[in-house]
Order: sequence, then structure tokens, then C-alpha cells
Amino acid sequence: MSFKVELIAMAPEIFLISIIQYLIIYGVICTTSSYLNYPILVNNLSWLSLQVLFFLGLLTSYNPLTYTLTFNDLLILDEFSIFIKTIIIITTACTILISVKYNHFERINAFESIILLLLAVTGILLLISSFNLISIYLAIELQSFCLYILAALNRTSEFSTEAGLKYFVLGAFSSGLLLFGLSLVYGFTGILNLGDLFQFLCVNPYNLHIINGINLASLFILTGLLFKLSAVPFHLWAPDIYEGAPTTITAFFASVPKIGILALLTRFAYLGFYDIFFSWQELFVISAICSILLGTFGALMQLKLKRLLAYSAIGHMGFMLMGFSCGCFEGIHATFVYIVLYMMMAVLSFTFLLGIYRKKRLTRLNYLKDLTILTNSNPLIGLSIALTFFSMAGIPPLAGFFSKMFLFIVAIQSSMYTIAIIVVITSVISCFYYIRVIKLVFFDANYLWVTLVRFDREKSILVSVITTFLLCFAIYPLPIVYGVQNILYFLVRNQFDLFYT
Amino acid sequence: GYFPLSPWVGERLLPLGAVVGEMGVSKDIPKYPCIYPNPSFTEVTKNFRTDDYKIIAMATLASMPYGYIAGTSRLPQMRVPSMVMAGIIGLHGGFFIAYQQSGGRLMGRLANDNEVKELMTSK
Repeated sequence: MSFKVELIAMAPEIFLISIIQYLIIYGVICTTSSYLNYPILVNNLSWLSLQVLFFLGLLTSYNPLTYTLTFNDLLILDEFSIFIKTIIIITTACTILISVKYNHFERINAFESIILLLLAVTGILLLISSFNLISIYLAIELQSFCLYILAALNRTSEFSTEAGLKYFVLGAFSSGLLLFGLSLVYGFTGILNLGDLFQFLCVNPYNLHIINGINLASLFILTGLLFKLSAVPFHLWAPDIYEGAPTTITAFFASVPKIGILALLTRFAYLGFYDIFFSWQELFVISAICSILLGTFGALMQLKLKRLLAYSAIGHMGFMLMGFSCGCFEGIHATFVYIVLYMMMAVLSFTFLLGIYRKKRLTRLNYLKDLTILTNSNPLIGLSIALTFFSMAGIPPLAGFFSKMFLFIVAIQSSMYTIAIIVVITSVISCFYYIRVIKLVFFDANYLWVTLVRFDREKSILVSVITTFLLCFAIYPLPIVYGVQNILYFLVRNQFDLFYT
Repeated sequence: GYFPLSPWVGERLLPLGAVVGEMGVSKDIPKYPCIYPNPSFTEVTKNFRTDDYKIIAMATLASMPYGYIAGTSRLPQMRVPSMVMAGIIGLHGGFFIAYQQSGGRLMGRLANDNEVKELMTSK
């Protein structure tokens, strides 16, 4: 008897996979039924998927097992993976919630988009739990295939088709590099399991043949993973794909897959390959500096909102990689606090993008200058946008300031003074394009009264909750900061436990 | 090597001398007495308490009205199918939650006084 503890430990993933199959059958039968008058099920499936995510969250958070290896060490369940999975489920639920009205206005009638989103989430959940090089690659591919199709979802739009094709070609190339790196690791060590790899590298630190081989392999692996994170110099796909894909899918791209890849990088760099971490550190530092610089200067020139957010995402990824490159516990602590707060700000910024529609012809905001309509039409939304962008710029006392401050302190404590100085200067420069948005909303007078479609209830609740949180983080940051610290403590403790057993 | 078997098949091949191994290893330290360190599907489902069945029933029944109104305002003909689908989702979700709770009690991760009295004394 073998399939025992897996049903308990991996219950969320098994539940999600089985429900996806039921939803596919439900969607196909109902949409092709003449009796039901060929209904369009996107809206209905969006709400059902929220129910699925609710149960998924319960199964993940209230799992009685907190440290289990399953499927012959292919997948691991620990507090770190539970925490990251919870963030992903909440962020995905927010993304689906803000997409309901958008799908209706933009006539996105394919219910398969929701199924693909759930499949991508399955891939990401499996990626976070992956403990074996093969399962890492399979999970990344499951996630990536769904995202390629989602980028090309709007079949009537040339931009969307172009975005999907670009993403597929470049993503497949980076997956090939990743697979080559993983195969080199296996070729040099004969090991696929991350825990065994850590033990092996600890025992053989001076075997130059193996260490040089692992360094070469890690270069390919990092190339593949940095591509998925849209970090410089592998970022070129991001602005075009963010702009071409439907905005709800862009909201998903900008947030959820990156958390999964960062969690995987944490296991790789701080569990499997920590012994050779300092040969990776240079690549992380260079990528971080270039991402922050390019994200800052690239966004300065942008006139379109989605491209601005794409470059902003590249810049924020640079910040996360900066914390990651410190090579210490405090570094990944600061990175994950930044991730939690960035996810909220990303969801919020896309909520505004998706929620503001002109009533005449239902045109949405595309260009930065369109924001001037908010001055007269909806100044409260303008105020929320102002708070969000102030937070993203790192203006105190909002949450974004504290997340950046933790990263700066950690960089200085790790003696990375150069990167800290560059980051401070670029933060000041990046304030320009965030505050330009606020200037457009409040100070560029627009004498036209434009009637906007009423901001719907779901988005209003989301905006009010997250904006309040960003404001109040300064008063009581301990739950997030200490919560993340405790979770990462378990990651480190389990690492030593795996080594000594 | 390990040969993965479905729960139903694996249990029935054991008397025939099938060599099956454990795919999963739980490294959690039990907080309560551990009855089965690696309970099978049959053992967990046999251990379902009234509370577990209540969870399944409540999850299913609460999901159905949600499915009835979930995105069906413009599709009145979809209200009943949506209700059924939501009920199926609730049934599955409730079953997995109950399975986790029952398995956790057997593995000593959750309070299991009743299981200790019934199962460990009979062992």
C-alpha cells in the first residue's frame, strides 16, 4: 500500500486537479447544450472558481501535516510551501474577482480561460512543493503552457495573438536552457533530489570537476528562472506581452507566477546549492542592479499604463533580487516581506486599470493622459490611486516605504554598499513616474466631464481593504514581519534536519 | 523500487505477496499519541466521526445556494446546473477537509482522545 500520506499532504493539489476535470466537463456540456441555449459561462465559472479557491485555501492552511516528503521525495510539504501557497491562492482569487466585469465588457466568452488559470495555479502549487529536479521542470512547464495560451486569449486582437506567440517562443527557449542546466546537474552529480544535492555538495566542496560542472549548470538554470521572473537581461518579452495580453491575464502574470519562481529560487539557492551560493551571487547582484536601473529609466518614457506597470514590475523584481543576493537569512526575510506587500500593490494597480471605464462606448484607460478624467469624475478613486502609487514609490508612512527600507538595511548589513547606493538613487528617480500619475489625476485640469461606469462592489471592497492595509502597515507591521520570519525559520530548520538525517 | 498503487488495488494485492513501499514520509513530530503513522485510505475513511460527516454535509449544503446565484443573473437557465456543480465542489471540498482532519487525528497531529480509546486499546 503506497498512496497513503499523499492524500492528506497533497490534498489541495489533488482536490484542484479533480475539480478542474469536473469544471471542464461542466463547461463543455453546458456551453454545447441547445436545451440551455448555448450559455456563455465565463461569469458563472469565475464565481465557481472563487469557491474552488476558497476550499483550496482551507485545505492548504488547515493541513495537519506541516513537514512531509511525498511521492518518493518528489514533492515536499512544509510551512514555507504552505505560506507561499496561501499567498498565491489569495492573489489568484483577487485576480479572478477583478476580472468578472472586464470579461463581460471585453466580450471574452471563453470559459476555458478560467480553467487555464486554475491549471496554471496547479502548476505553481506543485512548483512550490517541488523537491526534485524533474518535478521542478514538469511543474514549470505545466504553469508556462497555460500562461502561453492565456496570453493569446483575445483571439480577435492581433496584439494578444502576437503576445501569446512571443511568450511561447521565448518561454520555450528559456525552458530549454533550464532543462539543459538541470540535466547538467544530474550529469555531474547523479542526483535529482534537492536535499541529497545539498548533502552531496557539503561533502564534496573541493572536488573541482564537480563544482565547476555545477557552476556551469547553475548558470543555465538561473538564466531560465530569471527569464520567467522578467529580470534583466531576460526582460525584453515583458512589456510587449503585458501590453498585448488581456489586462486580467496581465494582472495574473505580474503577480502570481513570480511568487512561485521566487519560492523555487529560495529552495534552490538556500537549500540545494547554498555551498556554491557565492558564485551565483554575482549574477543576482548584476541582474538586480540592471533590473532596477532599466525598470526606472524604462518607465520614465512610457505613455501607456500597462507598459508603465510592466517596467515597474521589472524594477520591483530588481529589488527582490537585491534582497535575495545578500546570501543571509535577513536577506530572504526582507525579500518575502517585499513580495507580500508588492502583491497587494500589484493587485491594486490592476484593479484600477480594470475598473475604470468610460460609459460612452465602454472605453477603458489605455494612456497615462486618460487619468485626467478622474479629477472631476471620481476623485475618490483618484485618491486611492495616489495612495497606491505613493506606496509603490516608497513614500513613508505607507507600506512600500518599509519594504524598501528593510531591503536597504539588509544590503548595508551584508556590506553591499554599492548596490544600496544605486538603489537609493534609482528609487528617487522612480518617484518621478509614480508621482507623474498623481500629478495627472489631481493637477492636470480636465474640463470635460466624463461619465464613468460605476466602480463595482467587488473592486470597491478590494480597493478599500488593501488601501487601508497599506496605510495602517506603519502602525502595526508585526504580523507580516514576524509571520514571514517564523515561516523562513522553519525552512532553515528543515534544511538542517534533512542534512543530518 | 516503489510501485504506486491505488488505495483500493494496493490493499487487495497485499495478501498475494505484492511488495509495496511507502512513497510518502511524514517527518512531523506527533503532538498526540500516534495511532497509525501512515494511515491508508480505508483506515482514514473508517475513522470518520460525526463531526467529519457534518463538515461534508455543511460544505455541500452551503455551496448549493452559492452556486444558484453565482454569475447566473443573466442566465436563469443555468441556475440549477450551477447549483449542482457548486454542490459537487462543496462535496469534494468537504470530503477532503474531513479526510485531512481524520488522517491528522490518526497520525497524532490533532487531538484524538476518542481514537486512542477505541483503536489503541483494541490493538
